[in-house]
Amino acid sequence: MTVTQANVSAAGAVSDRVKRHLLADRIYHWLMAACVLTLLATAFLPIIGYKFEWLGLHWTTGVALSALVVIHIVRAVIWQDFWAMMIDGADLRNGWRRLAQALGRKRAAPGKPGKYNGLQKLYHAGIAVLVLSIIATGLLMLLKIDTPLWRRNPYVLADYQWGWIYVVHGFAAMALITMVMIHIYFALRPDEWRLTRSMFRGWITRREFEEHHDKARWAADER
Amino acid sequence: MQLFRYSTSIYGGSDVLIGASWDLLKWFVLAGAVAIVLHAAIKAVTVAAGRSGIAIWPRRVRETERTTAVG
Repeated sequence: MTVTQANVSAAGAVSDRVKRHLLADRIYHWLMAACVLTLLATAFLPIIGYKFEWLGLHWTTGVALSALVVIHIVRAVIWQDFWAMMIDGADLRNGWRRLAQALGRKRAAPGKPGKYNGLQKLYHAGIAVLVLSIIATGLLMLLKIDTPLWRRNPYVLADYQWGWIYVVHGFAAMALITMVMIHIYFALRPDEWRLTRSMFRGWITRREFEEHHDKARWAADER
Repeated sequence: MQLFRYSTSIYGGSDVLIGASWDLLKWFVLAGAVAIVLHAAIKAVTVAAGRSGIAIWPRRVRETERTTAVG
């Protein structure tokens, strides 16, 4: 059933819940969270003094995260509304109006967002850049270790090239800590609990939908 | 504060770049903490001001508007 058909079929009996995240997307989110936290812990705990055998868990979790991200990209491009996560003109206009309003300027009131607001889209873009940088460099770094699947071959790149790969991996990983802190902070804020709940249970209430979202920009499925 | 880590070349040449400096780790954590505290503070102030009807950053009233209001 398409979103349009779902809306039509639900027109007769309006549900008090609006579907925000499918089960597959929630599972992806929590698996990705587990991978990212494991990767950060195995990367940085030894650096701050908690010594343990971190490499095996680190690279296997990295490969798992890479597979998850590939699945997510395929799902987003083929089955999900890819453009729902892209910053568009309306997001820029709303952001400008919100800033002008905060500064006390007389401007038209900002409109409501679709499924995601402009800052959420910006955050997603930032996370995407960081995670893709970490995955690309991390997969190359696998060439420097022996695994059950391949033997190490560090000679495919020169020393200075390896150096820059490690630099990108390290900076992106440290920036990911900042991003994860901000993400957890917003998830815990009471005014954002509806979004946190939807990442556990999949839905927001109809009242929350009408209060925070523009129906014209998010053709939500009703459940 | 170092941005990068280097190792000394065993052949006596120049130092070899081996990665980002881990001394920067605390600054990334601090950046996250600052962003959180700033957002929480701004949000708390704007919500409180919204409830009491106070304009945090009052709009400058132009001379023409003032004249109209008086008139």
